[in-house]
Amino acid sequence: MLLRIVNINKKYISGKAYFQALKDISFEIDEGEFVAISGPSGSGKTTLLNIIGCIDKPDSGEVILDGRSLKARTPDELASLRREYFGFIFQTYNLIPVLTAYENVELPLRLLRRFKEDEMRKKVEDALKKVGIYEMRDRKPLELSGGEQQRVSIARAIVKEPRLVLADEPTANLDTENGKNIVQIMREMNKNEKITFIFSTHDLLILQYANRIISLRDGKIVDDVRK
Amino acid sequence: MKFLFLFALKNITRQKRRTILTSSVIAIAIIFFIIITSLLKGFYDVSFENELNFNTSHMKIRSIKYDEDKPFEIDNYMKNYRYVIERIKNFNFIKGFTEIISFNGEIDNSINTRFVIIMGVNYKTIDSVFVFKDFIIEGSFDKEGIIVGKDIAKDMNIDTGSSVFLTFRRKDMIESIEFIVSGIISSPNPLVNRNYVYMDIEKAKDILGVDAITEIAIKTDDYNRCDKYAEIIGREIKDVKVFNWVILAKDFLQMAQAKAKGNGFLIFFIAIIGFVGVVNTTMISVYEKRREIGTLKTLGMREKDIVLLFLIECFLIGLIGVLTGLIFGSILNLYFVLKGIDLVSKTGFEDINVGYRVLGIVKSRWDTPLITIASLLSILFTTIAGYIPARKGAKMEPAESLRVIQ
Repeated sequence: MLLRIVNINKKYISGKAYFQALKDISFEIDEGEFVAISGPSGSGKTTLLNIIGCIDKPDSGEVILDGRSLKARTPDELASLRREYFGFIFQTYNLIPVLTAYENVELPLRLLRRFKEDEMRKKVEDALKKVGIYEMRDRKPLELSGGEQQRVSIARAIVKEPRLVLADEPTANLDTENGKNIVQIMREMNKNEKITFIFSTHDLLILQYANRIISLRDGKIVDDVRK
Repeated sequence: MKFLFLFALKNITRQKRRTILTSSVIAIAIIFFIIITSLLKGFYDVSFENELNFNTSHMKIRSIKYDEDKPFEIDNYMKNYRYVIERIKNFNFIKGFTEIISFNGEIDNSINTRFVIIMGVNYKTIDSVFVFKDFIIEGSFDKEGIIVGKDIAKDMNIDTGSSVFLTFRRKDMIESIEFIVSGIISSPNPLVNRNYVYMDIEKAKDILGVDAITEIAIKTDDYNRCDKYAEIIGREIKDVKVFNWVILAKDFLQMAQAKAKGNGFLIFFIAIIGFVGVVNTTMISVYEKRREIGTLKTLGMREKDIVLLFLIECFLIGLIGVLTGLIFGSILNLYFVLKGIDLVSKTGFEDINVGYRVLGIVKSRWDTPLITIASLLSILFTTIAGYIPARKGAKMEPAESLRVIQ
């Protein structure tokens, strides 16, 4: 088992009002799964992914990654976990605007500080080729279309061969065709590279690619279906 | 580190206008600093040279009874001066000496009177210690006549050949003697022009009725070693007091200290300009890059690397500002170094005593150590200035930062 989520609760407070984003969420993810988290807007998908990816903390409950609890970790330890374990794909791509496509993909390897220049070049080029964006490697994000930017984002997520890729609505800003392409690329990575994917979406067309769908509503799991 | 450096470089070129604006403020401050400090150094150096060449010399030997509070008293006179002169001829570090007798008095042209310092000097030897004859702009030395400072001549409407009375105290009585003005001196040291009247030392001794002098002014082979030389002379020759230029130029050196404080203030002022500019720029930059910071943190960048990234950006802005300031400041300053500034016509300094012993055209002189210190401190301050906003940015929760809509 790669990931275990145990009784996660999370609420957001704004003044005197508060919003319960997640309520007693528990599930497990095995290595190699291609999991979709579905649900309407505000159902808690992004919050759940953020907690899994160690970029947000639950109010209660526990995330266990590779048998190790993520409770009481320092910011630097959490940063280290994110560097080592996770690849991230965002709805708005979140590429660094001053860096080229190549440099954006190279960034996670630079942060890991364990690869030689030659190794890095090979990994980055491989990743760019896998997502079919190699020819555009010298372009900056603003010189790329949405679909191309998301491909760069995927290359950035997989370049370091992470154990788990978290994708928050990766197709939400794309048209149907581009969305399908992106999910197909992710699926290929999952099959070929054995990378575990957890992605959030409310797009039914995309959901058909998942081999497991966890449905959320009002912060609760209402369904957990394996195909 | 190389990656962070290149990343920072790309970041500062992204916001070109802001980078140019912030570094321009630093550059302008550096330009002003270079020009002002070089001008002050020019003033100081020329002033210092004038002080030595026209006033203090390197050292002065005076009577053991010399009282600094009553410099023109007859009791101060050195009677054994012939013996002292014979002795100092033996010191090989002494390159020149001249005898002086000084007393105060009043110059009177029958219309106006003015207090003056009357200097009896040895016209044969004075130029071995001071720069004197080169600045006699009208007339020449005459054993029976007097040479007056340019300002005195101007104020009292005196020309060469004019007849004036000098009134002074001789022993216990006041004496007034008529002299012909044989020359006018215009010295770069304004004190000479304003206050001094020169005559032959033998004439001076004669009218005072004394066979004594006030002091022997000395030029040595190295003025920096004068404290040591003064000690040697004091040990070898009894019944004299030896004053080196550090003691003689006390008020001038106090002014120099004030100048050093002024420079410190200037450096501080520039550093503050850089500091405020960069704090502001970094705060805006952090605010604008919240989402980007969130992405970097999500990808696993450590907080200290994010801080470092911003600090490198600040360092680069400071560096660009300082280098630009150094280039343009040096080009502008070159004019003042080569052409100088005419103090009399441009500033009216002749009428204002600001403590500097300078007149006429003064050329700026490069104050390289001070400019280097100011440049390095500016870069350091601008780098430090980025720390607080950078730290604030690095401490942001990634989830919060990613929620920012930009």
